[in-house]
Amino acid sequence: MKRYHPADETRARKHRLPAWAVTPTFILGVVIVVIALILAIFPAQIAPYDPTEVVITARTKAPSPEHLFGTDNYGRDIFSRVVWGTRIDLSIGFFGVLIPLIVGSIIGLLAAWYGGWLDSLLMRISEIMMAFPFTILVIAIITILGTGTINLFIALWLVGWMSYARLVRAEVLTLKNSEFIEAARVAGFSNARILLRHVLPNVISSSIVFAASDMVMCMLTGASMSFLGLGVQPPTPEWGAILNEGRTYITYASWMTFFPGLVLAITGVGLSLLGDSLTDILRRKGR
Amino acid sequence: MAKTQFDFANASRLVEVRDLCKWFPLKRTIADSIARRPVRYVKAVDHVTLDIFRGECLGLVGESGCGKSTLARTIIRLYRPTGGEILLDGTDIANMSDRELRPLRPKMQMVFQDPYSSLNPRMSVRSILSELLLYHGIVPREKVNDRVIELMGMCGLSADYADRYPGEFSGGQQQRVGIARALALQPEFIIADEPVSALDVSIQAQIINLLGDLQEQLGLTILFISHDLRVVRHITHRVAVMYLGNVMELGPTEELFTHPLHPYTLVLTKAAPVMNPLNRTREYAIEGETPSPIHMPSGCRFHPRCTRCAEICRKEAPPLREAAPGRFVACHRPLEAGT
Amino acid sequence: MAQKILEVKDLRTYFPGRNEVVKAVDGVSFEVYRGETFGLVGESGCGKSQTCRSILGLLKKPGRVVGGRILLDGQDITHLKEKEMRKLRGKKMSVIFQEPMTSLSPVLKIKKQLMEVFDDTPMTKAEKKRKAVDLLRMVGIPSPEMRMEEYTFQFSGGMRQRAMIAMALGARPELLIADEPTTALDVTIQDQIMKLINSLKQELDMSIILVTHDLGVIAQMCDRVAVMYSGLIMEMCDVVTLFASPRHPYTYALMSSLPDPGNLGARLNAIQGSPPNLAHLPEGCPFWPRCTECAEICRHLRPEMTEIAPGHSVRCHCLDKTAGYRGLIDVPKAKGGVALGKDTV
Repeated sequence: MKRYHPADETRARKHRLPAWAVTPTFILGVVIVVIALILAIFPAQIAPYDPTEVVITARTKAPSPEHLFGTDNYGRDIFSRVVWGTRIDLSIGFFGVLIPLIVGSIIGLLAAWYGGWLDSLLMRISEIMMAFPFTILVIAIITILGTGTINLFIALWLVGWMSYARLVRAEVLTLKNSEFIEAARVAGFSNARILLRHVLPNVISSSIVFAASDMVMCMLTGASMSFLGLGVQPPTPEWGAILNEGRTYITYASWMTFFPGLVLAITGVGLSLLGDSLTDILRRKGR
Repeated sequence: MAKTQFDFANASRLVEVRDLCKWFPLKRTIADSIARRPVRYVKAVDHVTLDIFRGECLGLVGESGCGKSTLARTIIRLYRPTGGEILLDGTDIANMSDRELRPLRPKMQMVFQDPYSSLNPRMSVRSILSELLLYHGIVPREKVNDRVIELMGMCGLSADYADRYPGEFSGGQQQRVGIARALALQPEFIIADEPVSALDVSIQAQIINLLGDLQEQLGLTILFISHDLRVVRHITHRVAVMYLGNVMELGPTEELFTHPLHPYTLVLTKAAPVMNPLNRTREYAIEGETPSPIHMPSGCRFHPRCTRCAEICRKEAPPLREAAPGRFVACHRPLEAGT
Repeated sequence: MAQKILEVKDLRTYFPGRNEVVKAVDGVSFEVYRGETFGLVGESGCGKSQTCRSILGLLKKPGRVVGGRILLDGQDITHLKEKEMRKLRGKKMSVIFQEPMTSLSPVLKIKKQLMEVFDDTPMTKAEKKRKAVDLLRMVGIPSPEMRMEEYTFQFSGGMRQRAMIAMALGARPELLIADEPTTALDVTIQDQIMKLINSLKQELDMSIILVTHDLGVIAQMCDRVAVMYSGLIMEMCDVVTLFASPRHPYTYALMSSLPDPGNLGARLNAIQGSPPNLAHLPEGCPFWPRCTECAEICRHLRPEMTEIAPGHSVRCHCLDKTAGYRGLIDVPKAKGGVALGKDTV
């Protein structure tokens, strides 16, 4: 007997990506991000030179087979510096988002679930902080803490959590009165179990998707801060810092800024494309 | 299942609701606080007294906004009551904390209206049921799987479905999962909040049959909430009629349907469209709509729409009193039995 | 009442997807006569709403009429341009939806929305306003001059449905399509709205297509009925015949699954299984997997509509088996047919 059941097809596709999700945008995003990840994980194998090694004889050389992206005013290989920089910039993007994702989600979860003064307090704080432009706030915090990689991270964390807290809070508020949460309460589950097993898995996906696009933002902010000399300090190879160093020579050694800038832009686009595709997939699956 | 005549004389009370109130405060603006205006409330449940006998199926009917869902959610302590008592087996649970309630929770469970949103979309049937069984230690760990299959079987679900997720089921099957979940903790008392109104006509009968069978097999006590009086008349032993947060009438189902005492009960029972094109009478149709529970009418809440309204109805709220054995009515001028 | 206001011939409305085609309406034919109320009854997803949307030219993407013809008052409107369709809607035909809140604009006053109905007719503003007040009064909204200055969110569910009806009737349409007009309402309000639609129908001499899943509403409102299941009409006849002697197993099963004061507490005769997915209809009769009368032929061959008596058509292979069905009511034998119940008000 051939009897159709709606579950048959959904079941088969449950853990596979549906065909419509694999768009050119998605593929391009994945390719760029994967390449960036490879560079970040194996810089020593890929970079032909030591990124900090100063070779006076090879100063400001134009791109050639030996030095793909040319060399800078200290004779350092720009290609090697860019490859090593990938690790730092991706880390800024990744860890700059990871901690706010975790902390912000927990804060949003608790604020929405318990409500009352805790909710009001957290939401007022985040509103005040949101009144300032993101970059200005980061600069202000670094100015107070002092420059440096660690302080850059702290500044990003302090500013980043709010978006996640608000996102998760909004989702929890709509979920809080849904019948399956009521069912969990009727079952007598502890608050911790309800929050972790029943609420969190249903609210976290939109935060994760937001994090994917937020990584671009974070990476660019990190690069900007370093460009301004507030973040990662030379001679550590970081794209923003490399750009800053090349700034003075832009008229006659444009490769010093052109290639790092290009790589920064491509990586940013790749992350954005991936983030957009993920948002799309989530939205269509959620229907 | 053949609804047996229920012997109320010898039945013990499982749930006693005494003077129960649930008022929701309205949000105050800053201007309100400055002007020191008193807090206003939506009196969703206002001094309700009700007994539920062990083994009976009590129907709770009324129109949207009458407070029937709030009453149910207060009895099962999803809400903390504003006042009054809820005795479960003699223990007052009205003001218990979550922690104190936890060991009592398995005794009373709930079946929800919307079968899809009442199930966690990210948990398979097996994990939904086994989580309950393990958390409350209903069966030893090694027997959990057998019990899950048994519960599913009781609710007419094939064991093959155990690892499916709620989104993969049809509405009727989802509601079966919802019922299996309610039964997992071996409750004595089940609140069914409009369990069939979200389902298609051809599926409703399946679920009603299932509830009836389970009540008989397991000796459950059921509070059955519905706005569909045809269904309520079919499966309940007694019915309580609610209007604007009050119980207007309470009595054995058949007597209440054939000889309503409260004018509102009459209107409600006659309003459902008759399944007969040769009989198209509208003589009982009433004008007007349910007033907002923020601006309650004075006296009897039903008086602005009542055809029998008299002077006293505008001034004094009638208490719920026993008009005949087992029949309670809150009305100054009840209908004669037989009208 | 021989004159046809609407004729639908073999209508097919499909929703093509990437891999599959959802056949929401798959060959539906019926006609609506002047002055009658025609009921379309069925469960969710049976195609009753999509039939109406096809008639109104309001199909949602990617839905499309792929076959058949729709004649309104003799004019073929199947593939009319949106602009011409818009002229017809409102003038000749109008619609009331289930959820009035989504069909009324939340940002405009009721007055404004009602006056828009008369935009095509040359009228002064004052005249329009007076007409709007009349409309609200006609649908029984108390103190219409005051209420029309309000917004929809200030109206209760019943009042919104009344306002919606007022808008639909503003241009005095000849055909009103009511898609589950009372489903979202409480029983006492449903009663009021049914009464209102019935009395307005007489006053304005309209034809109505009433879409519902509630057999009670059908019994109370309709003259003729079509029972739909998975995109097909299964049975079509006058309302008394439907309730007295249904001949399709699905109609019969629907009626017997209802709780009945005669067998209180007994097990209901539930229909097994659930409605089929419209993209994967079973071969043969779409109802066979759930049918108690199912024969071998039903699994392979889709039955055609057969006229078994004047005005009574059924789509079933097993008509000899269903001849013994007894419906919910007994019809007293009377000469010259049976009079419908009068709407005593």
